[in-house]
Amino acid sequence: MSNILEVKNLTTHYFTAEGPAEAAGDVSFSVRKGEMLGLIGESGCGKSTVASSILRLIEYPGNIVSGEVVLDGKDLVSAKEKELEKIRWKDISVIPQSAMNSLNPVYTIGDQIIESILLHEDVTKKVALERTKSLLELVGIDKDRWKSYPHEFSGGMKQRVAIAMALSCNPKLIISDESTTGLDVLTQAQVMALMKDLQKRLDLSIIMISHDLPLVTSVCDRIAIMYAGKIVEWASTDDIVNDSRHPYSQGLLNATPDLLNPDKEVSSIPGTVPNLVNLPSGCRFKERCQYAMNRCSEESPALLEVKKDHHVACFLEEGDYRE
Amino acid sequence: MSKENLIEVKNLNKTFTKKVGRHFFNRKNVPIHAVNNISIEIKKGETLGIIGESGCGKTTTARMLLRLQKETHGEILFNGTDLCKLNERETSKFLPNMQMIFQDPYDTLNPGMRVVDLLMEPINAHMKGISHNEKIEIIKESIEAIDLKPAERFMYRYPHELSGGQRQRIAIARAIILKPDFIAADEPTSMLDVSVRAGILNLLLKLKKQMGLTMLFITHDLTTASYMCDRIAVMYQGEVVEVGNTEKIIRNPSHPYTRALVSVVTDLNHFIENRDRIILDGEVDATIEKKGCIFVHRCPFREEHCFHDPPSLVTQQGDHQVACSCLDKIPSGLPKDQSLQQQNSHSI
Amino acid sequence: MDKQKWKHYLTVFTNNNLGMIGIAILLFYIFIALFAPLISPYDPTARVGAPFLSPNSNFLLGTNDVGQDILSELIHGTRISILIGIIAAFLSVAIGCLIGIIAGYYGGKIDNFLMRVVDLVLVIPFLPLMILLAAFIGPSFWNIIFVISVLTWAGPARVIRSQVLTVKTKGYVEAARSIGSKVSTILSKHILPGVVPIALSQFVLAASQAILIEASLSFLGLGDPFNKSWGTVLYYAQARSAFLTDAWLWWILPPGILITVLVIGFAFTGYSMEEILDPRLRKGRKSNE
Repeated sequence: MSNILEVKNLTTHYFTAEGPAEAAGDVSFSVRKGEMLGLIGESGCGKSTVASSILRLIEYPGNIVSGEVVLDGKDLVSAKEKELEKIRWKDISVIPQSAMNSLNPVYTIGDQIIESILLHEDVTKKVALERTKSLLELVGIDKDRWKSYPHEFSGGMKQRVAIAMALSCNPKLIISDESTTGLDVLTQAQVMALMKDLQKRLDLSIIMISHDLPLVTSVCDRIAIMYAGKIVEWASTDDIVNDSRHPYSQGLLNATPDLLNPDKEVSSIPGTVPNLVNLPSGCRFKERCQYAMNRCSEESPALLEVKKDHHVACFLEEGDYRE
Repeated sequence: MSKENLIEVKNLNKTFTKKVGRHFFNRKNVPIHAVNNISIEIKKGETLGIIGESGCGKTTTARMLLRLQKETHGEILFNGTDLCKLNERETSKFLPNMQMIFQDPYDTLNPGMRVVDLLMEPINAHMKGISHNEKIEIIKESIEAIDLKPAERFMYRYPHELSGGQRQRIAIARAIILKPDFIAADEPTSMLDVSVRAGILNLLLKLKKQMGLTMLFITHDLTTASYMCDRIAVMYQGEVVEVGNTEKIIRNPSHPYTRALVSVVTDLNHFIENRDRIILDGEVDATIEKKGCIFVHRCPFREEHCFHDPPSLVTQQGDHQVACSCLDKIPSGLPKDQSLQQQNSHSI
Repeated sequence: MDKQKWKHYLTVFTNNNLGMIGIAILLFYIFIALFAPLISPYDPTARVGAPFLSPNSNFLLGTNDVGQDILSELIHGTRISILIGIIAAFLSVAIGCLIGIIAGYYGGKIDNFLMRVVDLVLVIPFLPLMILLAAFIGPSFWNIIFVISVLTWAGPARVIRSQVLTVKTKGYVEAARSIGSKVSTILSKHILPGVVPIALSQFVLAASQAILIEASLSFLGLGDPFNKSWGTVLYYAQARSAFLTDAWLWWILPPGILITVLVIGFAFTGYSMEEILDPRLRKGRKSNE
């Protein structure tokens, strides 16, 4: 399968008053055509930074320091702003973190979708309206409701509108940035169901950014786990769930109770996330890692492919350290 | 009141009024039933979970129990005393016996107070006539009880010098420092990072065992509830739709809403494929006037009479109660039964 | 209070040029007020020269109608003006705090009643009433302070009430209630610290307002004749027709400039303090934690 997006050694810094914070350090992963990739990690791990870096929407004081983001053979990091304007939304669209609040309350949802179409494509208003109607139907909203205002919709419905908007220009890739956080369990499941349906029907590629491991493991094909600005493990969902190699991934899995196995002992990972401005040398997880050894303080482990499609950034995978 | 119940809630109601209508003259006050006639019991030493989505009335219920909010009407019996009939002074005598842990540890600790000041507050409010040194001793003990050791290292810190998990531990210390019989925990882990959640849950379990606490655990997450609770009450739009033993609720959910919840958590993919048979599209709208069953708009098993006659909680077996009048018509066993037996690997 | 927070306020403040200018002006005036007897060349109450002298090497700003040195009068007047301004502003903000906290915390009918009183005080035509009141109770140092504070507390009360409403919704206030803390404890330990920064900036703005009001009252002859302030100097200048002669240059302009610059100093300080307290700026701090 061909890769639609390749992120290579992406490093993004936030230049804060205390010094540069490495919110994304040497991040590499790729998204295949028609694939749903889960990018997960805890708050502040840099997952949203990666998303904004892909679109080059990093805000001051952040900046992409190095790396490439290749979409269909074209590097976005070195592209001119004019070219990017064509790519954003047309090729890559975003369902934002607070999709429910990202709609303008004073325009009808139809107007807002039409506007996003007209902005990027040279079509007549009539064509845009027709497409808006079919988009609404696609996400399960009555097409006659295009005249409604956002406040007339419930949270889940607004989420659907945001999805319709993200689909409006037939993008190749959709980035969903924690877009179902804050919705109720059942509504969230229904929205996820919709995204899964659309992914299959339209052969969409989706990067699903989330902190919710159970959710991501249920719907994504592959998963990349981030910790303190680094990808620590990147593998198929099955490998993550049944054969996770990185101590952090294992810790996350052990920290979540199992509904069907209430006797499972859960435990949290000791310690706290390091400060991104003042990162420890070597592996960023070493202070919380039960397997930490001398080497972990000396050098930073690279993301290595330990078996087909299973990448881990841990020295344990390089030798027979693990007894 | 039976002796083994610490808390009995009888027909508790909380109604808010909302103004509806754009014009000055046709504006109407519409009652919104945040909590609608619920009755629950909490046995001594057990953890009862209340599970439901945001706005279902679970937090309001806890706040009324803790007397942070007045009920519209109803009874709350705590060890046989009706809290609703007490005046403010009498209530404050009861408060050391019942404490609350709130959702957001970033918000519930005053940023201008050090840990020792925060923990001094309950002592000053309720323990009269002990010396300053004794107070400090009690504070130290409670900090060590929540596994922040040594206590001296944390006592003089400000909240912003603590991580989210540590803050929530301090909030727990503040709740247990008066050695209460009852603790209500309102989504104590939902604002925390996944990797520290388990620590808080285990701490609560440990304290419960050590101190013989009775607990009310509020959550929207069935998995957490299953880890923490002996019994679970499922709330939907201000009403309790199902109560029972945790194991029973999860293995054999009866109310259509509970079924939907369980099926989403056990196997989301299965839910995605069969969602039309599990729940109908639609969402909670508190302003719709309800006549019949509250779940009728989303229930795939609804029948004509469900739109008119509200079902009441009916005891099934033991203490398993369900509020659904179509139970016998719902095909027994969920479509998800297979996956249950297979111990589906995707539900971690 | 949270040390970190104050430190942050201080850094923001020192980075603010306007604020620094304001503080410098205020410090300058306070210096003059504190050391007035040392700085002023003559005793302001003594007749040291011929009346109506133009500025010369002995009397830099000339003398007034009874031969007192105008410069010395102004230097000593700084004391009175600033003292009245600060005391009146303190009382006005104190009343405002009390009313604002009670109204904000208790809410309901009490809030409704107090806020209607505030509205009433705010819409009363200010100057006429003040003149009436000052004339009625007679001119004296404390009467002027009383008049000013009674008529200016409403603004601070309203601002502080809205701050209390914000603080009241914080989780820690609710937590304190669930602990069973007394209302007095909740007010003093949880609500008040959240209000203090706003009250401070209100105080600075109220002080400049009070100084202006004092000057106007004194100019109208309602000031304390035994404690000459800038306004009183102006009153005598006006009464002796200084406006019609060249004397306005040294008798009227200097006190005018003094008042204007001081009010500007207070305003700069107050505005930059408000800027610090702006929640949009505070957000930046939160993410640093």
